[in-house]
Amino acid sequence: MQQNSIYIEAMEMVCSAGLNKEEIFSSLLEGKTGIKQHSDFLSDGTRCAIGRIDSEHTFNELLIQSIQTLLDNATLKNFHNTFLAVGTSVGGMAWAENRFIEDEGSLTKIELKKQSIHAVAHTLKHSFNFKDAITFSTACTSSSNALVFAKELLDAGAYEHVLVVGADEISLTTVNGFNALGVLSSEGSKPFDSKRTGMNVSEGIGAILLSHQKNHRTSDIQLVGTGCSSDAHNITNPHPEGAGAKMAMQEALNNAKIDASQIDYINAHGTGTMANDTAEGKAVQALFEHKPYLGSTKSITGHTLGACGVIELIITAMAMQQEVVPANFNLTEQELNELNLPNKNLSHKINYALCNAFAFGGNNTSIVLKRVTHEN
Amino acid sequence: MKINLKILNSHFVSATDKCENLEEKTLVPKMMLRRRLTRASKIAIFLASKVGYKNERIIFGSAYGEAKATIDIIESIYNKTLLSPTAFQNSVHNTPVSYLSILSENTKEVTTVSDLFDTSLSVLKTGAIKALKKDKLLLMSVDAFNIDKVEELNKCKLTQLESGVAMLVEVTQEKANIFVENETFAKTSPSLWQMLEIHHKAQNTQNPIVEIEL
Repeated sequence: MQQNSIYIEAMEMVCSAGLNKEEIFSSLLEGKTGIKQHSDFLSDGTRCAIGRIDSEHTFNELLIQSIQTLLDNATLKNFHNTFLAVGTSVGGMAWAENRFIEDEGSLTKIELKKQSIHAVAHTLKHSFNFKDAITFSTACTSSSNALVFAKELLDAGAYEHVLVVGADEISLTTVNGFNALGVLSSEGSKPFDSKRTGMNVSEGIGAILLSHQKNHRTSDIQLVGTGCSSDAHNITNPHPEGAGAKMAMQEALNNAKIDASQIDYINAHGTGTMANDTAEGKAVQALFEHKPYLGSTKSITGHTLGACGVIELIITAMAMQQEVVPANFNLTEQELNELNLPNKNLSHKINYALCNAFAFGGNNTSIVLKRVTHEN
Repeated sequence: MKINLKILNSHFVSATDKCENLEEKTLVPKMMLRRRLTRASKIAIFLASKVGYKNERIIFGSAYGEAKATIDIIESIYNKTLLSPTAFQNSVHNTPVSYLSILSENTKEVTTVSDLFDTSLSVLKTGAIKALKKDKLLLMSVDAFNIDKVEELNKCKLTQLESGVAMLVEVTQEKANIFVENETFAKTSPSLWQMLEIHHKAQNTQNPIVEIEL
């Protein structure tokens, strides 16, 4: 297979922590969380802490606006020769829930194009003319798997440009579902803290244009490695020692042709649940003896489910560009002392970073980014 | 870009109501696990056994996903009744292949695509690119939507409410003898059509090789 360099040509994101990538990154550095308590989501009226986008626009309007902003900042004039890889775990679920409730429990007005997983791609294809598209849906690794496929398409020389979009709108199903599993927190999440209380379901949109071409205005970050694995352990709980997570990270390092010791920063999946953070922490400890900086940004953005892979890769790329390691907001007493979890923002050059996403069914993905400088 | 895939084995199941004889007791000896499996999971596990799956990487497709679990959840929310954690954990699109990976202790990559009526074509395209790593792959597309309110959703009047098709493939430089011509199979969900077409052609072709265009 061809192995030309793959650059992040343009990127954009929206979530509860901000309406564009600059706003979100500022929120991360200033510790301004998008997580708020709501009492209108859980069936029993109990309050829960979730991340809703604060905007007068609908989710679909924000989706289209984000892609238009990205296009305006790219060297491309349009997407006519671009492949669209979408990652979403719920697609049009929120729309379908509203119809179902409005129609008093009837499914007759549910339209598949608006309800299904394909709904995000349907909206984007309607607004922008892509050459082709595929939607990935592997729960919380959906957009990470879309990124993995994008790299494979570019490596194979099948396309010059691939737009990867991660998008998940908050829905009653996900909020009540995670509550039923007992992992939804009533306060802001505290990833890797010994007293963590669970996760914050959130909504978000992230978009990354990957290209063989370097956009001199923005692209100094390359996507150099991807790794995927399965835990083969349990449908919801990760392997307790993080065996699958470790495998995905090792595969991503192998794919990037670098050694674990070269990683400077890891943007963890770090959901704030007891099971995930212990397993991921143990996997990081086992693989990275040099203790790179580790952080979860979900205490600010919440867990954007299928969108988190792209959103957190954008955050990682911005951390590399701005030479800063974001603090672990809400972390007061870390559970695993061997982990290098900064509790304040640190100025630091990040040459290689790794970004994790894990999902139901033990689906694991890891992605390695490289910062291109004159020195390397 | 065109990639040729050798079809090493393929299998198809379909039923108007419920696919019978899925060999659940043999394939899933642990009762607790067997009881948690969704219909699509049972079909996926059966199909994998029929094509000689031996822990290859898996590319799975489903247009409608776990329809029963999804409807159960939304009805539970609407009726303000207790939501089942099992229904939620079984509601994601990659549920069938997650169970397959657990059952077979397969730690390799598993991915799931969903593109409504182009779902099986997306499985083929994804599989073609991933096959360039030169290992064997399991490609599979399953849709099971025999739910209580199916008549409210089934606007295409499909009669086969459970269907699945699977094939074991590997990349080849040999000349293709099967091409996707978008044949239709009126009774079966369109989400399976392209893979179903290839399966049927492969049954009548010696050394079947399909050309996938990206």
